[in-house]
Amino acid sequence: MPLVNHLKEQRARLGINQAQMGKLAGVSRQTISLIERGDYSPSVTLALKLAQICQVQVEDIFSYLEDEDEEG
Amino acid sequence: MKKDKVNKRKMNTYLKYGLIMLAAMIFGGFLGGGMSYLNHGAPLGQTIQDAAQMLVLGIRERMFFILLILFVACIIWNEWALHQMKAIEQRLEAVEEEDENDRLEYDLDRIYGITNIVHNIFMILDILILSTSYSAHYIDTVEDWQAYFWLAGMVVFVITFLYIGIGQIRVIKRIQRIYPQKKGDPASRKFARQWLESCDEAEKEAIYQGSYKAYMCIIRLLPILTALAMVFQMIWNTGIMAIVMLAIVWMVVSITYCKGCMMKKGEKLR
Repeated sequence: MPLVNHLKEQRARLGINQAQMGKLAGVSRQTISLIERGDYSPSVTLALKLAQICQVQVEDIFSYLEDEDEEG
Repeated sequence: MKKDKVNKRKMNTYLKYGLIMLAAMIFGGFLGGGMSYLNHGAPLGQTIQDAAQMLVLGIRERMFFILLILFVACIIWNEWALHQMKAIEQRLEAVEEEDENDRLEYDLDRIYGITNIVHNIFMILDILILSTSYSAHYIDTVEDWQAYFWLAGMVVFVITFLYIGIGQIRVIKRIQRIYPQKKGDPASRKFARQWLESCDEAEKEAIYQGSYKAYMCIIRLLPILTALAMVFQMIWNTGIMAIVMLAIVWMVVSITYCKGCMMKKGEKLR
């Protein structure tokens, strides 16, 4: 998956658990867990919301890594 | 150069489609021919018919007991599933480790999903068992004691359906207790919509993916079942009702899917 995220680190910085983060973002704890594991790519709205909660730019949490196979 | 590639791909697609149709025709021919042979020429055909008849009669005579066994099995499964869900709920309240939380929630989802499947299997089995004797002709022609057994079977059938309905409500209520954000009254006709609206985007995506898989499965299965129903009608005069029913389902599923896609696109254009 070319989308990498640092949500877990950002959440640890805030000192909150997945359930609390989910509550703040209006999603379930499971969804936060899925995003952190890289099993789910959030919508732009949710990504911006998470960035707002962490008080960082969205790029500080999510970044897109170009897949080398896709270029060819 | 690009155009040549496209043309080549087009020709391959048409050729592939032609070969699939040819294979389907050959298979259909063998199927029809084989069934015709079984029906008219071979003693095996009569044996199959006799075996099917014996199976139906066997089930019919034991309908009450089979339905009773299914009812008991349904109770055992449902109570076990609810007990497991309650145990997971208690462990979820105490757990602090996130990985353990993920595992427990997965276990909960699995039990909930399997219980849904089991409920549907019991309902379908009950309908199949009952259908072996669900005929006015049968009730009119059997002895009194057989009619009473049939009536008792009907009572068990109704109680099983009531129990499954209550069981589903209990399971949903348990889930709603664990996840208070999940909304919807299980007894309401709008439950599915209310439940979906209370899901977040990741949960909705999982539901949409599951729904699309179910649609693809149905749309692949329907032509096969319709073809089988047509062959059975041609060889064994099973009646056109099965073909009509399948055709209606086919039409409704296709129209609902296409209409849903078009309306979604239309909403975005407005």
